[in-house]
Amino acid sequence: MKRTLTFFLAVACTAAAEEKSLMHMYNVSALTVKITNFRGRELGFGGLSDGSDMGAIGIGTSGGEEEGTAIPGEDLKLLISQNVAVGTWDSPPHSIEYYNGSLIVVHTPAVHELVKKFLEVLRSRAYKTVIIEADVVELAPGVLETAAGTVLTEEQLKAVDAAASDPARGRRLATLRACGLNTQRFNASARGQESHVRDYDIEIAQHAAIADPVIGIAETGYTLDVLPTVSLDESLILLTARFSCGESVAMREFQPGGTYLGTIEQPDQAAARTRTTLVIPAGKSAVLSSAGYSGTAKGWAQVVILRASIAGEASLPFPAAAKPVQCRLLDTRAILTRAPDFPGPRLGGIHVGEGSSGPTTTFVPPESETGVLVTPEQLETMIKQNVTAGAWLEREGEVAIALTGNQQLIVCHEAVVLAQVEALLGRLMASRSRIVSVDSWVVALDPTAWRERRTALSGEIAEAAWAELLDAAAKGNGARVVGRASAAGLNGTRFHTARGVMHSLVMDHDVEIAESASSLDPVGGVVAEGISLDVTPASVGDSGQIQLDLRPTVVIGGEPKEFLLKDKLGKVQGTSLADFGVRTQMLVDAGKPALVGIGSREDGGKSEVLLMFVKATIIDVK
Amino acid sequence: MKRCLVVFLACAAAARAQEEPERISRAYDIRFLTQEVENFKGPAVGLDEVAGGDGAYGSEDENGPAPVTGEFLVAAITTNFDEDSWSDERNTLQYDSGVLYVTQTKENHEKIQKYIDMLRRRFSRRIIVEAEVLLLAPEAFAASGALPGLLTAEQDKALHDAAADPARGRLLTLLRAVAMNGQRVFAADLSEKSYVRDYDVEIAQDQAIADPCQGNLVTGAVLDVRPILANDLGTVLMDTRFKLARPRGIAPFDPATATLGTLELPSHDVLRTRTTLSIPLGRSVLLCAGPIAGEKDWLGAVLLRPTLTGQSGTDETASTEKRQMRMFDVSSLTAGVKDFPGPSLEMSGGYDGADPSTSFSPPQDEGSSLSPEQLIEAIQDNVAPESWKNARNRLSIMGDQIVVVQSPAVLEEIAKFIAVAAPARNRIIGVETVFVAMDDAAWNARRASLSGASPAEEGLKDLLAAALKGGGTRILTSARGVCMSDQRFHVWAGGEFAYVQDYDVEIAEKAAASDPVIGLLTTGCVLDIRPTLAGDGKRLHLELRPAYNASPGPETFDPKAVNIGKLHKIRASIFAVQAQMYVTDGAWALAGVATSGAGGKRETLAMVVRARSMEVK
Repeated sequence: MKRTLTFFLAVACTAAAEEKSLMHMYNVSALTVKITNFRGRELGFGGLSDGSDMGAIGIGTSGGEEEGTAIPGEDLKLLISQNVAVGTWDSPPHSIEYYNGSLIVVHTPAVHELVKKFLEVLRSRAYKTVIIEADVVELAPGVLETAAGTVLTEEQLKAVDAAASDPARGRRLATLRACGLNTQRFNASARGQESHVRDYDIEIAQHAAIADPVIGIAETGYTLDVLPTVSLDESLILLTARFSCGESVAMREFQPGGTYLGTIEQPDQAAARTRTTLVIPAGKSAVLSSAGYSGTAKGWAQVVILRASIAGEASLPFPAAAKPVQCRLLDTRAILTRAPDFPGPRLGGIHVGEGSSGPTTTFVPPESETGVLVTPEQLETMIKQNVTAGAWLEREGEVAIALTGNQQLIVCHEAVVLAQVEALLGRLMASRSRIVSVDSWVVALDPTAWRERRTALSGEIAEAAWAELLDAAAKGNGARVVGRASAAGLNGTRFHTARGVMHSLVMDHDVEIAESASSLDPVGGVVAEGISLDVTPASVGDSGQIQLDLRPTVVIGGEPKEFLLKDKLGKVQGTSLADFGVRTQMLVDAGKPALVGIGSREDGGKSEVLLMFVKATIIDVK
Repeated sequence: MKRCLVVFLACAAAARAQEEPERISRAYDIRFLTQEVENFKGPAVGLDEVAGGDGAYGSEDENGPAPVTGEFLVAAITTNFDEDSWSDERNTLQYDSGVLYVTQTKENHEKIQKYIDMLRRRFSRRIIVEAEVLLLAPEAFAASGALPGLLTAEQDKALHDAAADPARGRLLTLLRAVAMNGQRVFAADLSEKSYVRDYDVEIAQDQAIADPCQGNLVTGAVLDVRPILANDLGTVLMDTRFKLARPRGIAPFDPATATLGTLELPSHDVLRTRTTLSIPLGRSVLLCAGPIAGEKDWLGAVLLRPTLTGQSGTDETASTEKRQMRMFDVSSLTAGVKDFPGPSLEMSGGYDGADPSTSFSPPQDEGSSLSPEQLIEAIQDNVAPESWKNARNRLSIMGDQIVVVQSPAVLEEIAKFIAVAAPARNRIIGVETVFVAMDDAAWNARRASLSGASPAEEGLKDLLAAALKGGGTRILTSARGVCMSDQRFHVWAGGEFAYVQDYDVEIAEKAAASDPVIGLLTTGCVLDIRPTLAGDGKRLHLELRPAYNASPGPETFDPKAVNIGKLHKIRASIFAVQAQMYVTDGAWALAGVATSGAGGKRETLAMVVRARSMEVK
């Protein structure tokens, strides 16, 4: 931790320095400030003490924090020496040193003025705060029929606001606002915590046994956890978003029976979670995700709308250089930053064995973090091959590209070439700003309705047939929408959104036995019902087709039921689940629905056919 | 001719023998100067004892260095006073166990005595730190115009006037600590009450017994400071740890088992800060302020005022030597500024098996100020750089001092150099944070003005003004504090309560019993922040970790398991923001918003923050 003695020695050294050359200490601690990444608290599906978020940043560090640097001090020193009084810094007594948040510069008064101005420019560009706001609303069908990832118009936002204040059409669940630095992971949350007796451990000895209560903490509320990366021209924000929520549905009391066991408290929680990386224009709003399923009241969808803004003063232009070759710090982090893959949840019934960390194991652990990435070396090669190709080698030592410690580029060249490099970086950013929105529907048809539509829904689905199906589902004419989930993410990255309800149950008992004593030891579990869309989309060239790597799931659960174990007077709980999932890869036409899976279920003697559709849309965010 | 010369030399020798000055042997008691400075860490207050806090009453910190060493004194005296005379074996100087044994002429003894007197004067200075803890009505506090940091005379008077008027406030306590330069000391005004904190259970065949554990609830106020005097004797840099703990009650709790008796569960209200700040001597600062839960909506405000006492006089060494040895106190430049992370408000434990007892994060960082070695390097580079090639001119470190042997002219230059370096820590930063809650109607009315990249400060001021009036907008809590630039510090305004969170079990043949586990919940508001001057004179960078936790208190729950007693259910509502942001110096900024539905009551919570830097003068 630096402890900058601001202005330390500045005046002192001025008095002591040689004639004409002055020493001055510049406080650059805020330019070189350490960026602390703050991992948000996972709620809902993730549960407490979730160690499953293997996101790129903030993992495995104490308190969920790890640090980066805004501009490394040595890079700052290099940048100044290559732009101000170039070529004079190696001649004593002139010098520039970075120490603990301060630049100690010895040079003439005129050069000091230039250094001050240069620092002003850097400050104007670096002192930006990124603000991410989230509105979580529940909307009736038809209020906001737009693909996730779409930048919303003012009219659409007004329509959402209007619906949110009309109880018949929607309601606002939560608003969140978090702010942080460019490339920083930060969060805001409002949470409720409730302790409860979630289990018993059994201790047993000769003629005696006792149940040791195990205390759990049920956590509810909303967490917005984001990592924004601003593009070079500050027009776009690449945003890795982790949104989660948990709403308390009930805290049930269950008597597991047995001689020694007491009451177990079982929380039921409505949960939602989205993890993805998408691109939002600065100052605009976009839909992060939308999800609803049959368990949702009135069939409404929970929609999360994100708005990204940048606060700070206008960036000053770099001062005119005395020499033709200038060096610029080009923020390429939005191009080079890794977009993590976010595998989705596995819904259904999960046993929680002894020694497990509880119902936090709902999700399959992440398999990959690679995503799509341009490496710094590739970027350098691209620049050298596309901008004044060949000149870089010929003028080696005069012009150069260097990567800073935090993935920004320092490019030294003439102003006209620097402009071309910036233009190339702009095109690369535009390419990275392509996101893919994926919508998924699970529709249940009664056997008659299925027979009538089977031909129309197999193969390529005509627009009319699709519209007719949705209309029938809305009206309940032999069809109903069991669930719908949509989210958007960077082309080539895996992302997910999920919504459902988690029930804690005692699914089993272990037994403990000793001489003249025995006892049941309850084994807890979790049943998660709802819908999960887990997808890796990749647009295939300009053909308008998208390859989807699909892992969606819908679980329809029944009410927990109790079963009596007669021999020991103990009880366990269970539930029936309809688990409909698809694991496949397929090529779909952009903007057109496709049938990806069919299943069937029996419920109370009534059978229905479950159809899973997806529709993927390419969005070039501008 | 030859004979004349012999006679002349003989006469001269006789005359010299007659003029030979008298040598006196004398012992100087300098233990006062060479004794290590004892540091005294303040006592644990409140429920720190339960939470494994930071030390028992009156415990000692590691001792600080002695003002000077015997070796230094020997070197300084032989260098500064009649340097050549010490080559005469009849003149001796020896240091042993705090005593200087000197054989010298009367004239030189006088010089040595004066030098030692000068050192005694210099190190007999004491820094007095007074803290006043005021309880003020929010209107009175607002009317005073007091902000965290340096107070004007008018603000100081307004706060004291309000405290003297029972309708507007009162003085809760007054603390005064006296320290040597660089010494850690404390003053405490405490009361103690014993209670049955817990039971340990002992078990054997057919038998179980509960062994009661006595706790000691310590409440009151503690001021724990380490002041370091700046070279100009005008300001002090001070590590400050202040805690006010006011008892709320000790509630009896019957676990209702055959083995256990009644437990006593204490709760108390807290106002605490840990920080470092630079204060001009004789000026008052508002160290921290925040609500004290047991006092309706009144605010506790802590005022701090350091003064200097001790013998005055010059620090000059009355030497006439060409080359002299002098020491310079650079402790205010080289002292590290510690980070003080705030307490966690999270309810921990549960699935991961950790105890949910709340404990404080220890300081993570001792700071890395300018080291004495770096300061020496800077002096050598900038003050008479050529002269240091002469090995007789030298610089060395002695505790918090640097010791220089140089010509008087260069010593003066070094003094000037260090003097102008002293304002290095000439700015402190006051931070205020307010948590505001809005119902749906109030939020909808203000949503537009509180959204977007930079909500206008007028909108935030209006929000705060509306919150003071109540209605759909209310102030949940607030905290104010002050620190150095780039330091992480905290203010905690809230409370703590103990509860029965769980039972461990003990079992033996034909016997089983439950052993209660006592938990602590920390509530209220924690302002945990690291503000840094942005270097452009108009903005600040903030690293924010504020949090707010409200809990309605424990509810009794009977699990109805055999031999297991009743325990407590805890509900907590937490609002937390973790972020970094740039803010305009002195302007309110919106740091975070979140909607809370805890306890069935939906409110949108906003956290606003204002940081203001000020020059210490």
